[in-house]
Amino acid sequence: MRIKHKLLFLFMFLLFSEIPVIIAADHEVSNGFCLRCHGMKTLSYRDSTTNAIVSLFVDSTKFNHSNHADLNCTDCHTEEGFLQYPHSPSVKEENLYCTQCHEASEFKKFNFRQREKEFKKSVHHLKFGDKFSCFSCHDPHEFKTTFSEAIPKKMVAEDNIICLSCHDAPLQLSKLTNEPYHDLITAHQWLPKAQLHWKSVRCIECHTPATGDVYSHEILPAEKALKNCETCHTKNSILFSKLYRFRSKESRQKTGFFKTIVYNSPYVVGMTRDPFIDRLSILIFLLMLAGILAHGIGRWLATRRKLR
Amino acid sequence: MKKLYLYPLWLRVWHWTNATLYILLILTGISMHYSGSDNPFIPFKTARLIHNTAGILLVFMYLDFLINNLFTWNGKYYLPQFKGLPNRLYLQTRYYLFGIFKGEPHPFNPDEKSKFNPLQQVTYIFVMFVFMPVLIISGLFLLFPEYAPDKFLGIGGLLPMAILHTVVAYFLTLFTIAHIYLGTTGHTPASNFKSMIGGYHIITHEDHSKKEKD
Repeated sequence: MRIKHKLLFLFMFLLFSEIPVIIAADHEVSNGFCLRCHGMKTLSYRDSTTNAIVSLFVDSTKFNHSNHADLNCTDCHTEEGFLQYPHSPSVKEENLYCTQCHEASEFKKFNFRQREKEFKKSVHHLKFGDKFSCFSCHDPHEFKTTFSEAIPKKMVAEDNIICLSCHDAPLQLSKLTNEPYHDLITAHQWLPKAQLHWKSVRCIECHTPATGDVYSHEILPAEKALKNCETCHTKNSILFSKLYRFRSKESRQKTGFFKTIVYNSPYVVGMTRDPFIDRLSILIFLLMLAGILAHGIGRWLATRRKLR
Repeated sequence: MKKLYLYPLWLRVWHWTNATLYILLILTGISMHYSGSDNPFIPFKTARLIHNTAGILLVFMYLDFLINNLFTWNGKYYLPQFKGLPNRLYLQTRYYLFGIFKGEPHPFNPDEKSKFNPLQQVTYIFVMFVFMPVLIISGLFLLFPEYAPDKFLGIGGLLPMAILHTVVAYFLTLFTIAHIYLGTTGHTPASNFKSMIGGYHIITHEDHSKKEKD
């Protein structure tokens, strides 16, 4: 009887104690295992300092389509505390950086060190410091490079949504700053057909330096953004080195008027023009002026002869 | 010397407003087509503002043209007279290419029945009833791109509208220059311009002699 009591006590103790359950001892934790909880949309907690509700939800569909789909949760979330449930409070101290992984040679083309330098100069970092990180814009659980698709319109939409998720959402922005909210339409009043521009080019076309790297992360403050129409609306438009750089290889190699039509490229006033047609039209124009001049001189000579 | 009132006030106001708008549109249009920071003929922003404003006014001017020609006697001058047209066209062309240098009289002179010479008749029909509507419609689509068709002849977006607009505008520019030059082929180089200001076509001795011969 006494042994029975002792066992029952032990059982109750184990059941209600806070002794964590070891999730993984020797074997690897599968993503499915983590998603059993983190796949729930409502999984969240209230941060004791900021009082804000922090979501812990990971959208598995988006994750599986993201650039990180091949990774295990534990490849990045290496803290010991994740290996037990409830996770130990130490996991809150976890501090992940993109550059922790992306230093590897296979990512060399994206030059993450350079991206970091640019980011340090960006208005986001200068204003908000550590409150703003890579993950403020790029959710590593959903991040997917859009330029691989090479369809400008699609790329624009997917890229701009990142900016708009804060800049077009006063509530979201108020979590970061107490500065008064400027709505985008008013801020872009100088820009003709602003909404059409937003559908056709990315915010970063104007809000990163014109001479910057194509992947530049140096987001400029509003007052330093490009405002000169001719930067894009010209034969040597910067759009060629920015947005349209990502067009499919075929359409990039084929420049000129007819090829633009064939490859269904967008029309940009001042940019979409064919050197041959331009020259031909000027030639016809000059020939006509020469004809008129010759005709005029002829008439003048004829009148003079008549007067004599 | 007889005076013939051929150009009523509304027409003269329409003509010179149209001319001013045309010149503004041509200059700003060329500037935007060849825009670039290195050589800003007219800054893009300014050019766009002028082009849009003048473009909208030109639409109203075109409506003014349609309404006035529909409800006044001036409209009849635009009705084509097909009978013997090829021969008349030949006579007019021959005059511009050869006769004019020999001091020959104009083969066709304006009168109450027919104000335009055969070349004018044909050109004005094309300019006013083919080119102008295409220019205006494509221009309006460029001004309100949200209403532009998604696909036009298999090509997407604004490109076909922009091509139509540029090509038609180019030919209308050539027309404008030819029109101004041929304006100097009146009795004296300035007489046609004076007529378009004062409204009266001056019938010269030369005209009379030709009429008597007829």
